[in-house]
Amino acid sequence: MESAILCRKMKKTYGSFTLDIEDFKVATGTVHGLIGANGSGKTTTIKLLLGLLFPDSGELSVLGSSRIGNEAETRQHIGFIVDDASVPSLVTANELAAVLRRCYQHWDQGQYEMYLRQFQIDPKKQYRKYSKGMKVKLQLAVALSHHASLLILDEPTSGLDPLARDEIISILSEFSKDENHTILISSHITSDLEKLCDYVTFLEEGCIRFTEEKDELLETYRLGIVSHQMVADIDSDSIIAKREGSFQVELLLRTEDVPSFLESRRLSLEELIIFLSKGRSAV
Amino acid sequence: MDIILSNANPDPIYEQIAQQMRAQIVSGILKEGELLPSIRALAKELRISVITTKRAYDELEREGYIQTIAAKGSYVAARSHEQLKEEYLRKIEDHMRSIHLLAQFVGLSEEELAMMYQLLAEGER
Repeated sequence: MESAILCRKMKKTYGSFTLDIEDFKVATGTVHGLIGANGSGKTTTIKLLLGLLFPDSGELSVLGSSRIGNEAETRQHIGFIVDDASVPSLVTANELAAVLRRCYQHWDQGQYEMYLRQFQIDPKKQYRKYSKGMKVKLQLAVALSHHASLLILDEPTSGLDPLARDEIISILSEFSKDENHTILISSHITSDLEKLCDYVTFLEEGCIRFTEEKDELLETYRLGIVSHQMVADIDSDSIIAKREGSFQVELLLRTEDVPSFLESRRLSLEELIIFLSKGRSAV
Repeated sequence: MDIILSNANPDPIYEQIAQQMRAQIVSGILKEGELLPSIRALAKELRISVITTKRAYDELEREGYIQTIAAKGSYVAARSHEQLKEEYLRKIEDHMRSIHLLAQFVGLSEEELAMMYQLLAEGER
């Protein structure tokens, strides 16, 4: 299957917010990042893809199924992390497994226990006593323990310390080495996405601003730092965005537009997103 | 095989990978018939996208440095040392032609050119 996820003209309205996805595809065997500010529609998109919400209009297909909310078979192959896992507060990891092994045909208890050990989660500890980091790690352990081929993750590294984040990124990286494995990961921690993703989709105010191959995106732009006077020497048509400081001006240019006298460097994904976001002073 | 990517390097990442692999193949660090990492493994280890590593491998395959066998992997292509040497000699000749032209523009004599080369070679030593 070429596209693990496919969305076309998908709309969902909540009060004053409308999610309007014209065209969104996640190719099988890739890691696809969804970046956007809080409130941009990332979580709504993920909930629609998991069948927790239904679109008002448009089509969506996950692992070939367009009725993901109603089809248990497809959900067998999807591992997920959402913000509110709704695990009852007195349940332990062991008890959770006892329930999940009945839900998932391919439940792998050995793998689950291995992850619990790796994440240092006491299998007899009650969920209400888990730290925030442990809650996410438990979801990840579950997501990786039923031979899923698609992971849909909503902010899996939020609230985690750098070491824990690195650990999770490594595990996800390992998962993605298999060409049949696909990951859709939404995050506002762009540095994590930069390490992991093949493609990046930027969501702003409910719409997709762009979808690009990650390395090519980072190759397309350069950052030039100049004095206020020097700005006039640069063709204003080639300045995509700028940030004026007291002692310098930062300019965003396309790589091929950088004049030879200007020293420039690549931007990090985070810097690029900040420059390209609305509310950044355009030229 | 070592691949060191540099953000300061103006060449795009796929080009940096291709350059380094070419150099290692020519110098013999990567031997004929040696199995190379899969494009996915390489991508994940270097923390870049698989599209980029695929691009580098595709280029190297087009140039004849590597061979990809479906379901098995990519291998360093069998080329004689002579073949590789030939290619480098050709590249040197091309550069020499450019130098010759430039030298003519500024009226540099053959002796002056030879001296320039000697100074350069000594400086590198």
